[in-house]
Amino acid sequence: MPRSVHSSVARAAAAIVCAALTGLAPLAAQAGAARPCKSPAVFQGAAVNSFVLPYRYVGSKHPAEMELASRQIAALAHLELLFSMLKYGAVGGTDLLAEPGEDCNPKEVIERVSNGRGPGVLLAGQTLVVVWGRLFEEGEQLYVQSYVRFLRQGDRSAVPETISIELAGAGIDMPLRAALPTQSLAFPPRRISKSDLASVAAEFRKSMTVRPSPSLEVPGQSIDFEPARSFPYYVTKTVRTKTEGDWMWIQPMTDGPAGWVRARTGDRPAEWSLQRWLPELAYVDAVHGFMRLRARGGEGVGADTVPRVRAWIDAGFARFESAVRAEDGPAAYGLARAVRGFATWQGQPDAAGRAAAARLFAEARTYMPDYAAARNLAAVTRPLAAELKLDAETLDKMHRELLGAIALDPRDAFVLGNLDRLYRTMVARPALSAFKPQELHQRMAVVKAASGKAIEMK
Amino acid sequence: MTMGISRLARAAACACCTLLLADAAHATIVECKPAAAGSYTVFLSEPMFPTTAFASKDQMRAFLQRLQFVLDQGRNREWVQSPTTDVRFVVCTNRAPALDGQEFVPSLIDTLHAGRVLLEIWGQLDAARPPGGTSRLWAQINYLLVPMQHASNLKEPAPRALQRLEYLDAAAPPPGDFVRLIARPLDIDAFVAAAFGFKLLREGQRELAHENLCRASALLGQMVRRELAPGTLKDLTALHAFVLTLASRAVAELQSDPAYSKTGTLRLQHPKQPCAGEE
Repeated sequence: MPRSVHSSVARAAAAIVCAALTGLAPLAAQAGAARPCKSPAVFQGAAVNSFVLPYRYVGSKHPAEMELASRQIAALAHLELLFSMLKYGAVGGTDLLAEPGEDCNPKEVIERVSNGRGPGVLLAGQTLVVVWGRLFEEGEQLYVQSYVRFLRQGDRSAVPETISIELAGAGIDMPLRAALPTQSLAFPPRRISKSDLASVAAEFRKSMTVRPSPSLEVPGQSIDFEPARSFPYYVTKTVRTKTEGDWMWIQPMTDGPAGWVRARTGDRPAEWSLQRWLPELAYVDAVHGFMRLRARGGEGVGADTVPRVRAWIDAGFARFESAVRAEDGPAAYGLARAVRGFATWQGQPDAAGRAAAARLFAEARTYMPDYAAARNLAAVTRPLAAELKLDAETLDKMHRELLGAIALDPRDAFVLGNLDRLYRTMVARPALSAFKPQELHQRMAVVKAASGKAIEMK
Repeated sequence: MTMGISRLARAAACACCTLLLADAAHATIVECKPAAAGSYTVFLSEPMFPTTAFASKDQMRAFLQRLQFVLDQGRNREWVQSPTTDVRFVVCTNRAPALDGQEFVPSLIDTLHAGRVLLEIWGQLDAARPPGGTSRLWAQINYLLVPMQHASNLKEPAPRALQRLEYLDAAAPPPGDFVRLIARPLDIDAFVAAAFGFKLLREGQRELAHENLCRASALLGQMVRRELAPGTLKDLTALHAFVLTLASRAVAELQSDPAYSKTGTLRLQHPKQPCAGEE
């Protein structure tokens, strides 16, 4: 591995904090030098913030070389994710750095920005996507294990992503709730050779070119990172064309060339893209799109933009699935379907949209049969997959499926809440109940007691 | 793509058996230390292999180390919200049980059980290269469910403790990756949950046992839908049925226990459908 390439890219990337705040004024206070793990901060104008934490080397051989490789992977992942998420607008990306020997703990980082005080903490409605990983060396091959966690800030702390389901008809009005099966994921490990990693780094640098006009035909100037200085950018305007994809005008907040850069919107990553080796970056891009829809209740995402964002979400997951088999990452496959279902639920609130979402939730359940939340999501939306028919058989089926979910996790607040509403409905409509009133009340007492120990956000 | 056991795989399996007969005679069991106290452990013992799979023992051991990394990191509950049982995977260097598990005598099982080892995994690996065909990775993996074997040794009812699965990767990009072939989250989680649930039930922790047994049931229910060799399918189906019986026992015992809270969540379940919702 050519050490010079590694070193220069790692140091250069370490000096970057790039703010991509479409249509927003730059927030210089947040866009200073690269941030240390000990004091993470989000861009306050960004609907979606992205943190990439260092990839920690697991092993004892060649610690210096591997520390550099870990740093390089994190830096490249950060840049790739950032340039890919520009298309969503109102985004900010931060590459968090650890001191030598320091372990950058994702839980602590998230805690600081979601439960902390002062500038740089998440505001209500803002979202955060955190990526980190582990690195293992075997000969000339590197094995990379990535993780993602995503969250939205509520009034005081992070809140789970949920949908509300109104099952109404035949004198029944049953409001139900369901959350995503999970908001964190371990991706299947991937392999990349040390020489490929060096090539990706070199090509990536070349590709980061700003141009005087939004066209690939126009010669541009490469962004030449200086290791000794920070390199914050922000986006001031966008151009969208049918043939050229999305172009962003980026403006340096200190030194460096200004100009148009093309955000990554294509279905296929470029040849040099780290996505070729780490398809989870495409998955994370889809998560960024989803959180853009969820941030601040979807505020700032126009009705004409939602279908585009949904298409990008679908494309990101599809790219991941073209590279990773379902049996290697069943939870990733399941969560992808649940997320697509949520996006459909939000973007297409008619009967056809509800049915499409319900089908996706049913698929998610097959990939995640041991996740209580996946079972809950499928159970409460199943009646919407076809023509809604609220009868004793439908309620009985839902009841059995909710019991199946609670068997897996008796502390799931959403399953317990739905069971409570189902029993209340049965009390109100005894003809639809398989239980006698006394037994229903006993069951409601059990659910009430369990709800006291229930957890919403795991 | 992973396939069922095709003729080619069977031929490969037979070839492996022939190649490995000599090695089987040298099967060895050396002591292996479980993970730190308080954790449950899965042992990864050395597989048998011909040189078509690994050129040397060092290569095979590098594979085991990476397998351990993949399995441990993928289930690290410190980082991800996952319903999986919290276990640690330990590589057992120089420990190479015979394919039929003959070394697992009662005293060894007692030691494993006392050390909170839930599962021991080993087997044989090969990279079959049929004339004119593309290289195919093949693995026959043994999963020894320690609590089941422990119960069986004590003449308690238990299903077959040694479960055996075959994996065939028809599209292995060179060089083939055995870790990718066998590090199946679903399979390992199913066996871990079944073993853990059974252990908990024997120790009287019925609520937690029920959770794990239902998780095992959900995962085994997925596994038996795959195309499997008849013997494997029979054993897995029996294990699935056993797990459901145990879950049913947990519900029935708690519901008839006067000390069990009137508002305990297992009051919601019916012993005849202990995990409900499984169609």
